Amino acid sequence: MSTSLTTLLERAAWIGGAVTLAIGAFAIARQLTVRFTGWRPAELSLPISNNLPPPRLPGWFPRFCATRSAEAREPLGQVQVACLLARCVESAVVWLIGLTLVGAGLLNVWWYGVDLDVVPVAQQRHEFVVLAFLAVTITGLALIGVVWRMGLSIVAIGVLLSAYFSLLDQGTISRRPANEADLAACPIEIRMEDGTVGADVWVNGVLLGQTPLTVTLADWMKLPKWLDAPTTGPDGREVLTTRTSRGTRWLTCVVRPDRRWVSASVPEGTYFLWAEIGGEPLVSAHASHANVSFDGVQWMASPILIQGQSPRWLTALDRLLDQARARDYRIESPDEWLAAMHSFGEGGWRQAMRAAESEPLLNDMLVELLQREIGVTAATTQDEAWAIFERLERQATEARDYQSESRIGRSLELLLPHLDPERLARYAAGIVDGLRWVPSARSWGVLRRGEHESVGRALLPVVSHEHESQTDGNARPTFSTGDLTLSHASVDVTHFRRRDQLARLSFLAHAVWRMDELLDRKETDEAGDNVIERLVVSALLRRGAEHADVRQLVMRLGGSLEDQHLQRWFRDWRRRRPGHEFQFGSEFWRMTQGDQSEAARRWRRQHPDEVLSFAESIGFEENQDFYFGLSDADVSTESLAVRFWPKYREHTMSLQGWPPVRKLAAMWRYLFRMEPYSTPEMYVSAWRTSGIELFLASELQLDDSEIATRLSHDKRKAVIAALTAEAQARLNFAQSDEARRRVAELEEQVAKREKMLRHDIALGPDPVAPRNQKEFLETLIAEAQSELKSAQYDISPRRLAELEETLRQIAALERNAFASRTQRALQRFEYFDDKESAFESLADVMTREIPACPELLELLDSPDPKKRLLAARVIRTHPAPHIRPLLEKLLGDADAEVKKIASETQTEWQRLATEEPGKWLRVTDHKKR
Amino acid sequence: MTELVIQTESLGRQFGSTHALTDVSLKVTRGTVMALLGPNGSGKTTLLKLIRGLIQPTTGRAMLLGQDGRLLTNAVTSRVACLFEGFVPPRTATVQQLFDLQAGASPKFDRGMAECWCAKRELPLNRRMWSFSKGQQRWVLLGLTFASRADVLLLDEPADGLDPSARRELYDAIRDHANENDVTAVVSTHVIGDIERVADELLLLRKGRVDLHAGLEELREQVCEVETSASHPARTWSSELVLLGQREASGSRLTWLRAPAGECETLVKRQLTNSDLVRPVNLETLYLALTEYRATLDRGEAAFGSEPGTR
Amino acid sequence: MTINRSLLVWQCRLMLPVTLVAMLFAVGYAAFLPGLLRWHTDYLALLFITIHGWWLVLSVGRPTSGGVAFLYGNGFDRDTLWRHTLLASALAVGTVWVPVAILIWSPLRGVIQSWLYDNPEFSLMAPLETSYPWFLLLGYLVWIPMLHYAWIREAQPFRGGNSGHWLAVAVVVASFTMGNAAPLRQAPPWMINSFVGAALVLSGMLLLAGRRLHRDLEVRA
Repeated sequence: MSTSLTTLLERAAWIGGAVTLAIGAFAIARQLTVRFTGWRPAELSLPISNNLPPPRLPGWFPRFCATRSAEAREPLGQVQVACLLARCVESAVVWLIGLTLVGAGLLNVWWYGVDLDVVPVAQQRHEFVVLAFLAVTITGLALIGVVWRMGLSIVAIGVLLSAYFSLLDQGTISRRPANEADLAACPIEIRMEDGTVGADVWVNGVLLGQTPLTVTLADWMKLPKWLDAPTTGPDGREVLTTRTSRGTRWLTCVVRPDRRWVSASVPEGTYFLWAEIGGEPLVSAHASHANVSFDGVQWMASPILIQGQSPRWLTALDRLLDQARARDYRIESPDEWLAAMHSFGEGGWRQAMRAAESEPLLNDMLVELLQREIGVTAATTQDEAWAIFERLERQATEARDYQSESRIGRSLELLLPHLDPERLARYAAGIVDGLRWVPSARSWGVLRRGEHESVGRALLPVVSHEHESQTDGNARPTFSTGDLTLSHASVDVTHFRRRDQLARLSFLAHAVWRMDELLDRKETDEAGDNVIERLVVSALLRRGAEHADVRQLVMRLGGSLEDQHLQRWFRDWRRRRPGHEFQFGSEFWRMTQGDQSEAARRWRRQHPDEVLSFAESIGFEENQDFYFGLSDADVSTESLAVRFWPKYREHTMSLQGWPPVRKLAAMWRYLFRMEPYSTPEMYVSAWRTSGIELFLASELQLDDSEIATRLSHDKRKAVIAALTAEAQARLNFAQSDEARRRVAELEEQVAKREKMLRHDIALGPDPVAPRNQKEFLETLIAEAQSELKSAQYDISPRRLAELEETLRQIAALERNAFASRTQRALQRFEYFDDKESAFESLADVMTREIPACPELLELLDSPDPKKRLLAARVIRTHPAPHIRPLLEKLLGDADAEVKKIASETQTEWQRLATEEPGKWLRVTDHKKR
Repeated sequence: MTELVIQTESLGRQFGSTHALTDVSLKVTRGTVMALLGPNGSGKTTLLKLIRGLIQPTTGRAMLLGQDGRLLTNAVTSRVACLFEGFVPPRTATVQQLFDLQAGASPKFDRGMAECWCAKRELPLNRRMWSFSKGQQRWVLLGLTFASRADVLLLDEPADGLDPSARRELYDAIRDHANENDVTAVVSTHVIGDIERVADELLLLRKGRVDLHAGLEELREQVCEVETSASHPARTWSSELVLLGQREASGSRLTWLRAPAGECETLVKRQLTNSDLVRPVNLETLYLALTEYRATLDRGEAAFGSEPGTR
Repeated sequence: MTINRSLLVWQCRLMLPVTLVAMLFAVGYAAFLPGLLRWHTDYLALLFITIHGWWLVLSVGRPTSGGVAFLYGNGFDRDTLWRHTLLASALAVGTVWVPVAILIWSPLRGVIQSWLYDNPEFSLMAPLETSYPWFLLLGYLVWIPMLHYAWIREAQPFRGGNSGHWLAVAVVVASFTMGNAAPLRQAPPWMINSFVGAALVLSGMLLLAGRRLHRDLEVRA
């Protein structure tokens, strides 16, 4: 690679260097010759032709030469020797300074100087050529200074170095201005996140090729422009556009050139990807964005990573897991099972481990397989265990990606109890000490896991987000390098270039974290610190105590050193880092509201006033929605959230431009996060404060996942009861006694029904309710509310009858509002058109519960054969030990169809229990990239 | 055999295009007190500094106690004491501290003598230099110089700032030192009346060159002063007499003539009239006349019609 | 090598005011500055070394001053004067540097920071700031000989007397440029060692050249 400017500079450098050195060498040689041989240089003259006058040289030049010659012939008296010595020394000093500055240019990360780790070899050549000849030029000038004029030599060297550094800063060799011609050639890589080779990829309807593939930005920009994704795929089949569906869809991908380098002529674009494996469109797919940036050396784009699975792959994997279930998770030939699992790739392992979260026996099986694979049970010495560790580390590094929720991550966790903590600590501390770029590690990585998107630091400590296990509700941090989409404005391309090393660091961070947890459970030394806290925390603080990333990891590791450091660090946030309040504020904010590490909790307990003061100062900006967590559930009613609630309510109500429903939603979110210490009265007071006349829950737009994870069933009922009592208190304005009595009765019915609330705030764990069902319920409840309101003034029999009918419909659907996850799945299945997808969800929900969920048992015992048939179909999907006994009931069912399905299921399960573990065999290669 | 303490050979010093000293060759033996005279800018200080090695010669060389002035070792420097205009100790230094320093520089430093010297002018030893007048400061430095018991004294206008009695004491001290300790001294001064009592030799510099170098006794024996009427035309003296200088003032013309030792007066009287007077030379007036006469000749005003040193 | 105590005392006395002021400032700075001391971004320290060194050398190393010229005409030979000038300079620097080093290398600074400011980094200071005093010393090792050389060079009997001062300017500019341009903390150790080595070579060269040229120095007060 070369540009005209680079080539020009390179040529100028070596020509200039050679010429200067030649002049200097000539001058020195001439002086020495005159001195030691007595040669008298002839008068300067040039060959002339007969008819031309001799060229006239400037008068000073011959005089200069004569003077220097005379000097050279003079005997070297003491003074002359001293003079010569002084000039030599000064030349040498200037030469040393010049070369040192040139050498400093090698280090200049901020000026995007030569970064030897990552500069391509071809680019290094340019760098070293220019630097070498710059050094030669300086040497030549120094020699000239000895002979001629020292001052001029110094000035010349100074000018040269200034020019060099100015050019560096402007961007030439090492930091060239972004050349848009080169931009066009910037490669964009598209690959499958799990490394699958051979998936067909379309972009905006154009088939680009098979993964992994690379297209240039120029070609990418030539693709047709689509404003929106079509409703059919490339093969003409209709696509499903809902995000939660297992259906296929066009994947959105935004290509964003970095505006610091690229003019507006290169547009930002949204593109639509479609991926298939073996003719099958991927399901549950997602694609990352591509940021195009310039790091001073080259253009680069973050790879477009496509997540998703082929339906057949999913089916095959399901079958493999079913085979395990059918065997009661007892595996006779672990090697075969390992081979089968590996055939599904890393994605298969992840999928299996996700399933195992709700299947302890499956989890045990996977653990056994992993233990066998890594050989941890066979490792008897520390060296053997360490060898396993190194092997896992290599695998993570080669994969260029690491997630704690992966095979390697899980294997690591199995290995850690066998590993010498001190050895690990020393190893990790050594790596931390050797890191050269922690201070500049500020970029974020975007982690995409299914539909859930989170953002985390892409470097140490590489903590992505707090992932809550679905079984025990305990938050557990995950580690991931993410896909490094560079999707934030503060792009630091240094990390992008070093992304290969990030996987290793994530692996190490995971290991250190878990080891620390293990050790914390055991007895610690006299100081209370385990070896991780002693060695690794001190190394981390040494390397980057001033950086939020490091502090975050240090907080989680804990220890006395961390305690000393961090407890004070956050104590007086106003004094920290003048000029960096925002950055510090963000970190402070995160720690006060969301961080569940022991350090953060302890800090909150010890400094509640600081937290509250901070919340008031930072959070309450005009028209800002203050997402303030204060999650300190371990301190009961003295929690910060409880103490802060009145202020938060007051603040929310003072926000300008917010409709009442939005304010109410914000307040309720706060109360949700305050659970279980928020009271129904708080919810009511929020509603009352919001000024909403009637409780129109459909407009609240609350995130169901928050509601689902925060409110218990009993609390939900209490809240609703309180709300309806309040609502009822306002609605009692019936005209006549009879009417009033009737209205009161109806209101009572409404009050009794949980269906008074919109199903949007349905407080069940299922994430998203079907839209059409929502709309239907909204309509019903709106009608009821409207009627009840107007009934205050005009109660006619017809109206009352309509009201009662509405209430009957609401009652019929009321269970959906507060249904359990299973109930909602059932309802969805009942009402949705996409029965296949709804059935999948229903079966999944019903069969995960151990022991068998009540709704399934209810279906089994139902007198309605359709319900029993549904039960049979559900049971058939999951041959787990706790489900299989349920089949017995259906084998003798009165209904022929039910009995048939039960029989087929039994046959199928028997086959599953005996056949060999099914490998994923495809033509497509599943080798890693 | 008399030791050669100071010797210069074609010594010259150029500052840029200015020739401060040109072709100065002299020899000074041990125990000699040499008066270094000359108008301002004649090169006196330059010569002293060259001898001491404080500056480098452009041509020639200077030897001090047998060593080249540019390479003086501690064995020589500890035997040489200097006093130069501008070489002043820090104003915050006390007299006692100066004595301590000098004791380190000169192995033979006589602290008692230094203290007596200062006591003559009632100068307390614990006072700082800034609290003394210029003359008192000079007195202290002179005490330091003498008490160092140096073998060579190079004094550049040492009497500058001293009152008449102090000047007398100074020169007496120089003479005593020279007599008692065989100290060699080169003293530059403008006040020839003081130095006339103590100097053995006279070196007269003009525009960086040696104008006159002779012993004082020798000068007194060889030079006589003739006073004639200024109204009479300038006399042409006999070829045995060398005209050193002439000067007219208050109607009289003073002429200084030089002849071989003891013969000057005799030779002069042959050409004198009754109104003319001849007498031994007064060095101060001789010096003034010499310098003035030379300056007159330099300007091309041959007012007296004869060239110096001509007949 | 004999040491003339009276001469050494004399020269140290000349530098006493600047040494006292510098020591107070340096110790105060090292003790009371909150935050970590990082040599490569501490421009104030670099400026301090520049000014302190310049003032020190001005006190004892300028031949055109009467006080320094007095020594030259007072019975000491050139080499003795040169030796004692350097020694006195080293003692003056040491008087400032040693307390700073002790403060930083011992837990003292951390204790003061903890007591005064509740500084959370107090426990980290000793290990993180270990290299700081060494780089201060390196700065002095380069700067003091450089300044002495500059004045000696100015007093030479041949042309180009200002080149020493220009070189001193060049050293200052280069130091600030490198401090600003290169986050040397992130450089590989061999590169940092190269720079240190170059600085020491520079210092040695200036000392040797200074000694040699000092013999030809002209005292023109």
